[in-house]
Amino acid sequence: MKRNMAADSPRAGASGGDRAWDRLLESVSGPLVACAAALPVCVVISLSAGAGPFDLIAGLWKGAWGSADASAATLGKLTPLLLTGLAVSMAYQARLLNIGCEGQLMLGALASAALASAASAKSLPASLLAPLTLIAGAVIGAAWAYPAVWLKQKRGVHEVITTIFMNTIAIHLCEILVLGPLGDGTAIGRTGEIGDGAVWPPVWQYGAMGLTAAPFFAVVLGFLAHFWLSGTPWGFEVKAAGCNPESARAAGIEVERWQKRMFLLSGALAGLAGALEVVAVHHRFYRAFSPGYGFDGITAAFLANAAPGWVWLSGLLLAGLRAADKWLQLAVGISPSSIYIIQACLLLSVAGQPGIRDGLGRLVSNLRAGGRVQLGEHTRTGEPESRP
Amino acid sequence: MIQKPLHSMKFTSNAMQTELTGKPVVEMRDISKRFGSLRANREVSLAVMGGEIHALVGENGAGKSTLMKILYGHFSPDSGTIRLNGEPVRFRHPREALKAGIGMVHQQLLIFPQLTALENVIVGNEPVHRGFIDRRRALEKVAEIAARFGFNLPMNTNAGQLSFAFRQQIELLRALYRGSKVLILDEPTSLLAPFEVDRFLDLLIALRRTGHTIILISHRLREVFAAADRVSVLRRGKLIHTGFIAGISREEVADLIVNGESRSAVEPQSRLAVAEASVPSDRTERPKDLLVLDNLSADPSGNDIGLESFSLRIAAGEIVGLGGVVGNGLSTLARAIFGMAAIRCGTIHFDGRDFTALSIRDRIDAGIRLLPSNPMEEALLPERSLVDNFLLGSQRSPAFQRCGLLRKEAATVYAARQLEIQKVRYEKVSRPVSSLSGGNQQKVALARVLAGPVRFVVLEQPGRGLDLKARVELGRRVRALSREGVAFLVISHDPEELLTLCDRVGIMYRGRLAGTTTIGEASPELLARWMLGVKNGEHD
Amino acid sequence: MTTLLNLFLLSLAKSTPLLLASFGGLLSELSGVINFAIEGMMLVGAFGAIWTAWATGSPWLGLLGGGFGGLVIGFLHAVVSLKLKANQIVSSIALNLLAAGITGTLLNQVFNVYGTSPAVPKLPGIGETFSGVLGLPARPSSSVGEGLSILVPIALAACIVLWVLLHRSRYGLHLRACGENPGGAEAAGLAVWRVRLSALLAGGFLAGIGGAYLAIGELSQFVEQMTQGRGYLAVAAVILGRWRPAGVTAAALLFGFSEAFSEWLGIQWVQVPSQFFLALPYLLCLLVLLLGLGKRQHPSALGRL
Repeated sequence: MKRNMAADSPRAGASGGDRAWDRLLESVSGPLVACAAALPVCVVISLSAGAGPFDLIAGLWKGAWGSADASAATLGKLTPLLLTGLAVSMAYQARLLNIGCEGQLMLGALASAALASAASAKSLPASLLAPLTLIAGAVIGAAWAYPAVWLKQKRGVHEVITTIFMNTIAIHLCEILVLGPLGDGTAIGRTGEIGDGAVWPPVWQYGAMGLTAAPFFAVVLGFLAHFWLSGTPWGFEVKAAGCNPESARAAGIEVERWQKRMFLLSGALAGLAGALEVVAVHHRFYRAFSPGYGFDGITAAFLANAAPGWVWLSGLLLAGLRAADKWLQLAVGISPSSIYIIQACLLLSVAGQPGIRDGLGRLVSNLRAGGRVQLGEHTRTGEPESRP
Repeated sequence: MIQKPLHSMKFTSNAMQTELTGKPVVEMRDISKRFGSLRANREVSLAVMGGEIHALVGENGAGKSTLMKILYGHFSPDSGTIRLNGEPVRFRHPREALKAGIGMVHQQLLIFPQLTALENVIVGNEPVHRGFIDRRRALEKVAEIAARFGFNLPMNTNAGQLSFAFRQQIELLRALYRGSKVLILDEPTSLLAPFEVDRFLDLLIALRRTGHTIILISHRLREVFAAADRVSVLRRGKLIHTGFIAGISREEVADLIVNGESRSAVEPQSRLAVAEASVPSDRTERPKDLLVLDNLSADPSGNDIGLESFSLRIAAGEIVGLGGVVGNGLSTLARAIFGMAAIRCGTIHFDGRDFTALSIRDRIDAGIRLLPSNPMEEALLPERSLVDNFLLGSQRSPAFQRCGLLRKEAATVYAARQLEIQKVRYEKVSRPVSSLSGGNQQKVALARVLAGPVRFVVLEQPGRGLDLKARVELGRRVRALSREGVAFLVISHDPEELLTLCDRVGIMYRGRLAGTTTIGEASPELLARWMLGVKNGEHD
Repeated sequence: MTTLLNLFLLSLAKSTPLLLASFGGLLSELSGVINFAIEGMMLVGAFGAIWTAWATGSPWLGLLGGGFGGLVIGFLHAVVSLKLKANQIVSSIALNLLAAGITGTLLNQVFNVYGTSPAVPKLPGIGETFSGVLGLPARPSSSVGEGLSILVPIALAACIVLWVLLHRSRYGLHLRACGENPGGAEAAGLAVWRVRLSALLAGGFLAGIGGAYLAIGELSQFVEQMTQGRGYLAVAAVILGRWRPAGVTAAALLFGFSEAFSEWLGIQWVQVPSQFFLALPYLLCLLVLLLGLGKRQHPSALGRL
C-alpha cells in the first residue's frame, strides 16, 4: 500500500517504524482524515437545505443500506465504480491520469450491447457469447484510450486534456450511433436487448432485484491487480517506471512501453465496466447510460491512495453515495448534486495529505515542546524546511 | 606528481599586504543546527573580518553550506547568535539578509531560465518609472557594474541558453547590483574549466580591492591557497581550525579536513594513497579493443550538446578518462554509450558486435554499465527500500523470481550481504534508501551498478559527493577491476580526478574529441588548451 | 459576404469566454501552478453571475459576482495545492467536481428548480452600451455588430493589458520569476506564496468572468454543466499558445472559430446529426494538438513548489 499522491511535492523525510501496524496506519490515515473532513461538510449542506444537521448523513445511510433493495442497488453499483477506480489506479501506477473512463465505459457498453444484441450473435452458444461480449467492451475501451497515450508520448500533450475531449466526443458518438445504425429502430435511442446467452443471471436474491456475480467478479479482479503489482517482477517494473522513470530506464526497464500498456489496461477496465453494466444490470445500452461512473472512478482511486488492493473499500463508499442520490432528493429534499460536493471534499482532503500530515506533525511536536524527550531517530525539529 | 602552482606567488603576496580592519564584519557564535538526527552544525563560532577573503573548507557534509545558509536566512539556527558589524541580527528570510547587505551565490545556481539575463539580475529590485519597470535605467546600472569587474554577460539572452560561467556571472551581478558588501560563494569553481577558474580568482581579488568581504566555500585547496587570506576548517559539523592562510600549509589543512588533526610530519594519506592507486599496471602489448566508437553523431541529451563524429577506442582493462567543460558533450557521450541518447549516424561496437541500436537492457546484459553523476535521481529509487533498490535491474533474474513471482526473501538476503560487503551504515534493509547519508547512497548505487557480470563501466563524476576516504577506496576498486579486464570510461569536469585515476586522458570540445594522451605525457596545460579548443597548435 | 461577416462575429462571440478563461489560466500557470480547474472557475462564475444579477437586478453586478465566484475557486486551489501540497492536477479535478456540485445544489436551493434557472437581466450589447454612455436614444440593433455583448471588445483588449502587465511591470516579472524558479525567487526576496496566490485569485476572477459571459452575456440563464468542457479548451489554448499572451490569444480565437464554424456547419448540413457538430470543436482541437507545432516550453518550475 504505497503513497503515490504527492508526486509533485517533496516529502520531508521518512518517519515511523516499519512494523506492519504502523504501515497500515500510515496508509489508512489519509483516507480516514478525508472522511472525517467530509462529515462537517455534510452537516453544512444539510442545514443550508433547510433540513436538520444530520439529515444528509442519515439520508445517505438510509439510501445506501437502509433496505434490502437499497443494499442490492449499492452492491450492484460497486461493479462499475470498483472497475473504473481500478482503471484510474492502474494508469496512475505509471503516473498517468486517465480521466477518460466515462467515455471508455460508454463506448465499451455500447460495443458489447451492439455485439450481443445482433441477430447473428444471438445464435452463438452462451459459452462463447458471454466472454466475447465482455472482451468487446474491454477492447473498445482500450482502443478509445490509445490516442491519449500516443499523443502524450509522441507529442507531449497532457493525457488529462486528451481524455477529457475524448469523453465529450464519445458521448456524442454514442448518441449518434444509438439513434442510428446501432439502435433498435425506435426513436428512443437504445440498442436491442442482448441475447440470453450474454446475460448474467442473479445468483443471490437480495431485495426485489437480486444480485449477480458481477460485484464479486470486480472485487476479485481488484485483488488480482494488487497481487500482480506487488508480487511479480512486472508489477515491480511498472511501479519503478512510475515513481522514478529515469532510474528505471537506466536499469533497463522499458518505461514508455509500460506506460502504454498500463494506459491501455486502464481503458480496457473502464470498457469492461461498461460491458458488465450491460450484461448484468440493464441488458441493453441506452442514452445517458452512465450517471458519471467514470468520474466517480477518479475519486474511488485516489481515496484508496491509488492502491488497487483498497479500491473495493472506497468503491463501496462511493457506491453508497450514488445509490442514495434519489432517496436524498425525494425523501430529504436535498439536491443530488450535493454528492459531488462530498466527493470533492473527500478528494481534496486526500490530495492534501502531505500538507495535513505536516501540519498535524507540527501540532503534535509543538504540544510536546515543553520538556521534549530525545527520541533519537524520530526527533522532528518542527520546522518546515527541507534538508540542505 | 604534477605540480603547477596557479599564480600562487602573485596572490600570496597580495594576501600579505591586505589590510584587515580588525573588527569582524560577520560574527557567528555557537551556531547549532540539526535536521532530524543529523547534526549539521555543532556550536560553530566563526568570525569574518571586513575586506578579507575568508575560505570555509571541509569535506562534503561537514556543514559549510548549512552554516552559510543560516547566515543568508534560508534556515534559522537551533541556537547561537549572529552579529553583523557588531549589531545582533536574526534573518528569517533571504530578503532580510539581502537588505542587510549580504549576497549569496549558491552551488546550485538559482537562475530563471526563461527570463533574460538582465531580468535575472534585477528581479526583486527593479527600478520603476511611472509604475512600470525602467528597463533603460536597469540596463545602465547593471552594465556599469559589469564593466567595472570585467563581466561580459549578454544581457538580452534567456538565461537558460547561457553557459555555466555566464550563469554564475548572473548570480554575482545580482548580489553586486543589490549593493551587497558581504558575498557568500558556495563552491563557485567546481564546474568551471581551468581558464575560467583563473578569471574567477582574478575577479575575487578585484572585489576585495573594492572593499567587499568574501566568504568562499570550497573544497579545492589549490584555489583556496591562491586567493584566500584566512581559512576556517569544518569537520563533521564542528569548527576545528581558523587562522591565516600564511600560517598553515596545504598538507596541514588537508590533514585537518580528513583526520581532524594536523600531522605535518607525516605525508598526508590522501595524496600517497591516490598516487599508489594510480600506478598503471605494466602492459607489454595492447589488448584487444573492447569498445569502439566510430564517427558517432548523436542528438543533444538533456542540457548537453550533441556528439559530432566522435571516435574512440577502449581496450579491455583500460581506464580512459574524458574531461571537458560542462556542456561540451560529455553527458551525451555517456548516455549514447549506454543507449539513452538518440544516435544520428556512426556506430558503436562492443566486443566485435554492433551495439548501436540495442536496447539498454541488452547492453546491461552484455556487461555495459553506467554510474550517473546524480545517483539518487538517475540510478536509485529514493522512496523505496534498500531491498527494492538492489532488486532494481535484477527483478527478472532467476535468482529473484520463480514462476512469475518475486522472491522477496532471496532479495532481502542478497541486499544485506551486499550492504555488508560495501560497509554501508544502515538501519534496516526495509528502510528507504533516502534515509542513508549521501556517501552511503553512492555506495549502494555503485554496488548495484557493479552487480552481475561487468565488462565495461562508464563512471560519471565519480568523486562527486564522496569524501576523500571513499574516493581513495573507489580508486582502489577501479584499479582492481581493471586488472581483471574490466574497462572504464571516467567522465569528469575535474582534471585532477582524471589525472590521478586514468591510464589515458582525453578532452571533449564541442562534441568532438579534442585529443587524447597517455598519463605520462599529460599535463594540466595541455588539457586546458584542449578545453579551449586549441588542437595541436591550431585554433578551432 | 454577410455569411463571412456573421461567421466572423460569431467567432468573436464564441472566443470571448475562451479568451478570458485562458488568460486566467495563463496567469496561474506562469506563476508555476498547474491549473486545470478553469472549468470549475467558469462554472461557478456563470452561476455567481446569474445569482447576483437575479438578486440585484443589475447585470454589471452580476458580472462582478461571476468574477468573485471564480476567485473563490482560485483561492481554494491555491490553498490545497500550495499549502497542503496536493498534486495540482488532482486538486484541479476535485475543484471542478466541487463546482459542479455546488452550482447544482445552489441552483436547487436558491431557485427551487433542477436543470435551468429562470431568466435574469443580461449584459448589454456594444451598441446599447455606447448609446447608453453617450446618452443617445437607443437605436434598434440593425447592424449585427451592435448585438455583440460588450464583453467581446473587453476580452480582446485584455490581451494587450496582459502583455504589458507580464513584460513591463514589476508584478509581471515577479510572477514569471516564481514560475521559473521558486527557490531562486525566495532567495531574491520575493514572497512566492503571496505572488502565486494573487495569480490564482486574479486568474480565477478572469475565468469567472469568462463563465459569466456564458450565462449573462449570451443567454440570460444558468444551465447545469453549461461550460461543457470549455475550461479544458482554455487549458489547451494556454499550452498551444506556448504560455505567451499573443500565442494564447491566437489559440483561443482559433478554438472560438472552430465552435462558430461547427455551429454554422450544423445549419448548412442539416442531414448530419447535430451531435457531430457538438463534438467537432473538440475533434478539431485534438487535431491541432496532434500537429504538434514545435517544442512547447512551459514555465520551468510549473508544478514545483
